[in-house]
Amino acid sequence: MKYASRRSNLLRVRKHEGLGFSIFVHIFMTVFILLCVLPFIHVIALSFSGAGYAIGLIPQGVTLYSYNVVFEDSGFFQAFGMSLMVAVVGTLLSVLVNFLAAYALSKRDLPFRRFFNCFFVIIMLFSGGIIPNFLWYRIIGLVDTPIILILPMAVQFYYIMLMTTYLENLPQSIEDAACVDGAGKLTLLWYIIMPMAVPIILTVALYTLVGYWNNYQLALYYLPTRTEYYPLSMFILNFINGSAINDYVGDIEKANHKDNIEAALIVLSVIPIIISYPFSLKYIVKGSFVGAVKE
Amino acid sequence: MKNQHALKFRLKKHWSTLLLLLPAVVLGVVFSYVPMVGILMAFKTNLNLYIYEPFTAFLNAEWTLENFQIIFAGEEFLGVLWNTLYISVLKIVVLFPLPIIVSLLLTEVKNIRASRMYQSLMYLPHFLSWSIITGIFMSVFATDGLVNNVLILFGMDASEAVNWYTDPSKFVFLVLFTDGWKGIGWSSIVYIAAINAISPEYYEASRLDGAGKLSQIWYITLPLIKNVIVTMLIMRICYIMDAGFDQIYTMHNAATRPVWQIIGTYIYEKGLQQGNYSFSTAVGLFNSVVALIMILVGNFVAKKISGKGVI
Repeated sequence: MKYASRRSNLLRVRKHEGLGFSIFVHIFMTVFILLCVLPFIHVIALSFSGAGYAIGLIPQGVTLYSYNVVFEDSGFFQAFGMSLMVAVVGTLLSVLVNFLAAYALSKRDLPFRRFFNCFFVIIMLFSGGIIPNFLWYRIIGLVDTPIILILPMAVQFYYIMLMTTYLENLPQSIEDAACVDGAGKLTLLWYIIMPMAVPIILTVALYTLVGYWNNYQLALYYLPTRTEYYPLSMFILNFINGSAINDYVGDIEKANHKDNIEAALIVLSVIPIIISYPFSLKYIVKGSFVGAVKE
Repeated sequence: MKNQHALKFRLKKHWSTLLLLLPAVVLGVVFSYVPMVGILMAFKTNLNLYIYEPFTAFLNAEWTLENFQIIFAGEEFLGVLWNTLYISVLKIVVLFPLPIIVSLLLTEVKNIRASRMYQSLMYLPHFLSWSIITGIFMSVFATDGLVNNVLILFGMDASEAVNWYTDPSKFVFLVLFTDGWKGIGWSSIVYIAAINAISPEYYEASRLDGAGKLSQIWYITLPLIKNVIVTMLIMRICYIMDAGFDQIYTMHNAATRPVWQIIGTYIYEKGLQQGNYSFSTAVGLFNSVVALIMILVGNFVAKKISGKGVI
């Protein structure tokens, strides 16, 4: 960001040059942004519309019918609650576990450091596959429980690496001073290391949160019968694939509004992301730079 | 002797730090390593889970190489492999250059506010789940959806309006379009960072020599971010065996079946839906091994070219 502003200051002097190019750039970017945003507006318009209209970007026959249907359906709140639970508990657990591991791996003279690095790389690159996982989780009794939506995703070596890189660059002297003062390992972590690592922890926490919120595969694979544990992403998938639509067979009104109800469902599930997005963007972007330019 | 002593010393110094690895290691063993033993299933006849518990079923199944014979002999898997590679290669050819173009143009936006606004809006789709994205575009591309309405406005006959999601000839386009919609903005972040890190002096010097915008991009920016581009390309090619299960599973339907059946969906369908546990595991094993080799080779090549690995 620093460079960007410095560069643009230097370039401002000759702003009048290359005007044509500059206009082209803005037009290109505007079109690109519109492509990103218009589908949202279409869905929002659709969610507020009555049945049977051809909807562009403006709602027609404005009604809250679709939202009423979604709110009446207890399934939506159940799924929303499950997503929230999985995302919050999963993120806390996953970040804690990965942070502790990252701290340990950031010590260059840690015994067996290479071994542990390999241990985690293998997790990242290779897996038993769906069926061996499924059968093993069934043996240990986790299939068809909400726990299965959290634990298989908890250890993420990529995030461990992000945090290790960050922790390696923290000044060792502060830690040594705390040790001299007789601080135990946990005190040290909680009061000294964690506060210094807040930016990277927030970044990783946000990635993890989005990962949990959006994941539907775990529910698809490991919740074969307990649909009441479905998180929102899987609930919506079921809806758009038509599996959930059978409930509307007897209700012509609802069946006619199928598209609108679906749109309302999508809007409601995107809202948490849209609301938190502006606040978290800074940390998200920062983290991606750490990962991208690891020189 | 000296090494042993050093190890003893380091163990003494770090035993409590090693304990901090315990939660991650336990989770890794329980949720990733133990199931890997189950890969042996690929070399067994199908497990009979109707009668037995998984473990007993495993012990009761006969050893065989039949699963792999079926994979390599039959046309079915070839078709699936073809679909996977077809979609993957198209994704690379069509979608890989786009973030580079976007980043080249975005970094030419000198107004910081405008640049920030563009960036924050174009990253947004990356944070949506595939089920939501497919939901959005199913209504955009529906028979009476946004796209068809616009096409009719431009003179398409209303009777030609089709639901794009159930038309096999348009399916791959949709796969590319939605993948691009989700990913182009976000993928450009790497290149934006690289371009912003280029020292302004290069551009200053080239201005004195009378270089225009396009020649600056061609002769300065692109050569200076070449390493990043090559690294990203290699990394992308490494994942060629993954055509995007999470995307395609949300888009699948009966009408487009011949086009979307990729390795990921095939494994899921054979295994969890049809109960061919051993065969599905064998396909998965084949896929993982090829993918692993690709990644290791890719990492090796990236190291040779740019001096650092991608893993």
